[in-house]
Amino acid sequence: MTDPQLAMVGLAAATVASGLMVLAPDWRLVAIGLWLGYGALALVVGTSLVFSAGLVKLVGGSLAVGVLWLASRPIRPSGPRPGGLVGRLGFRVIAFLLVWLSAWSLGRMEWLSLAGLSAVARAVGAMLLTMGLCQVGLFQHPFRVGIGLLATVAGFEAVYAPLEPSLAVAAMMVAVQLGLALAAGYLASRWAWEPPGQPVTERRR
Amino acid sequence: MSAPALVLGLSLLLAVLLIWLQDRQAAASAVAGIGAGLIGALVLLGPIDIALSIGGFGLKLDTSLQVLGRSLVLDGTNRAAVGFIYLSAAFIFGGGWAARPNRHLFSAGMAGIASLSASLMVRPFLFAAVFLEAAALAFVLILSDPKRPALLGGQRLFTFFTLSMMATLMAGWMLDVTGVTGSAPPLVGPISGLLGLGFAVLLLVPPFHLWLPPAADQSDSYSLGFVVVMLYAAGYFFVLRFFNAFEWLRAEAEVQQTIRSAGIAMIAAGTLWAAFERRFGRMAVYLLLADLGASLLVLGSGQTEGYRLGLGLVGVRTIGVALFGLGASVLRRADPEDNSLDLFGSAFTNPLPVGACLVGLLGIVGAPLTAGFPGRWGSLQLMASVDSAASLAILGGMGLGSLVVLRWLWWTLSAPERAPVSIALSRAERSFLLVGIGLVVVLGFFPQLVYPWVVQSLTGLSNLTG
Repeated sequence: MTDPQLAMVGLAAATVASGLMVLAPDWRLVAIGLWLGYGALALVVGTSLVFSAGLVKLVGGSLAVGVLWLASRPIRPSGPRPGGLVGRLGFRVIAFLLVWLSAWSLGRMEWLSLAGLSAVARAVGAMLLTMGLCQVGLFQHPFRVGIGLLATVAGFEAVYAPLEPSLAVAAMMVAVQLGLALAAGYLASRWAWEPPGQPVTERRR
Repeated sequence: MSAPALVLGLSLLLAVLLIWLQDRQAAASAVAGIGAGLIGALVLLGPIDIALSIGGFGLKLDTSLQVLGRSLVLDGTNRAAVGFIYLSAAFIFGGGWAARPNRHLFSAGMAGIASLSASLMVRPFLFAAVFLEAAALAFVLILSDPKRPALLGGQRLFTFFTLSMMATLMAGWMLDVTGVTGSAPPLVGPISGLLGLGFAVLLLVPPFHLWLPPAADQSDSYSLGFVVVMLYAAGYFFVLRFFNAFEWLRAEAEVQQTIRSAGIAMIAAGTLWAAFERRFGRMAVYLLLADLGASLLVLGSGQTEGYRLGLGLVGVRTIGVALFGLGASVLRRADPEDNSLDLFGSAFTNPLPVGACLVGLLGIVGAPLTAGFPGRWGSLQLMASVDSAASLAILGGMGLGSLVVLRWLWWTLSAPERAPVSIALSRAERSFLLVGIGLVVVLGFFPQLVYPWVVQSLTGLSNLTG
């Protein structure tokens, strides 16, 4: 496969992943979307460095998704609340399309091609990073925020791993992603009985 | 044996032990306080890189530890900074028993400070950003009080620190590989933007302070104080190391001006928000924000004296914040679910905790005769010769901040709408509060008890000390 073809495959995978994360109402589809995002990351790293490095990213990502899945399964975090603006599918579709366009143009920016970064790395990196940030901005639930942050870090890694291929950095990034998944999972498990956003006294009234 | 391995290994071992002790707070506080103190003493005074013979066996603590091609180094350049982190943590852990804080404070706190000290030891130092992120993740547990879950505070904390980590790593790579200097204009823009984002999160420049107000509402005050003080100290050291390593960054007048502007904005915003805030916890974090702004101002002076003063402010802040947190934690016992902490008339029913809160706050705003004053006065004198707007901001922050605290004192002396609940204190708890108040006042008169050894943390950064 040539570099432009790989870029198209990577972009398609990242788009499907992002679409699931932002648009899907079911938490399992959202988690699967993140896992697909890690698949796109593995494709980038596997083609930019060595196959095994991509595999490590996929295994690390799968562990992070697994941690979030296990933490969220007992509480089954629902989709966005139907009452709010974010709950409207139309709003989320518009947000998705706008962010997709931004990601696409960001991936073509000159300064990201500094060190001969491949087109697929730029495309996947920009897509996951911006969609992750979109997810963090749209939702308040720790599960959704955790998914968004993990997608953001995955997007960052798509760009950073080919630039800084050391084993220590790869290990540290996997550890950070597991830590993020644990922290988000911990907060998500508490959400079930104590939703945030307002002080306890106000809720009591 | 390697000194970094010993320090980190002992810390993590203690963290595991403290998980087991987390339901026995007195024991956990003693173990964490003594343990962190001993590790701090080992870091500062231990025979690192000196060959010893014990009972015929040769022993030498090496300065470095190699992990997967990167190294952790504990030598003259960072011993004082790492020691400071441990001793500050020991101080807060020690008083933790009287505050009855979140039960995760000691175990997650110990793991967090291990990560913070690793951030000071890692080479190349750019990877410190990853360890700072790891510490923030550990501190999420501390902010999420089982009694009052603070989901938003913790969630925003790790969101911001994740962004900071990515921005700093990318900027570091660009600096490293492309060898950017001030004379490479096409790349200075993106690098400055990324570094600005990374530093703004670490130094809690608004809007990256936004995890503080919800945490002030819902977390235990003492635990929140620990998290803020520790993360800010490590972030400040990290920024100083950046300045030490990159000459163009510290010499660029525009960078200094930007830092000073951010400091002025923090002082102005913090004191004004505090003035209009009716919730006690939030008012305190806004005053703390103004104090952090003062540290930023002296950092933007571009002078060695400014860096020294900045470290001194980081040091004394620990004492003021711990005292406030102790008093506020005690006061919250009256109604653990009440976020507003209604203090009307409470000076008569709970004089010691109220006094501790207010004296701690006076220390934080740098009021005369308190521990924060000498540093603020030195900053004022320094900035008068560098930037008159900055010195005015410091003076205004001290003045308005003190007035805000005095207004709260007035309210505590006013007639309450409903009789405040009197909180029973043990003799030991009373002693802790009295010693804390005394310490803030004594250090106002004798700043030389703290400042010189905190300032020593700068000695390893030879480019900053000239």
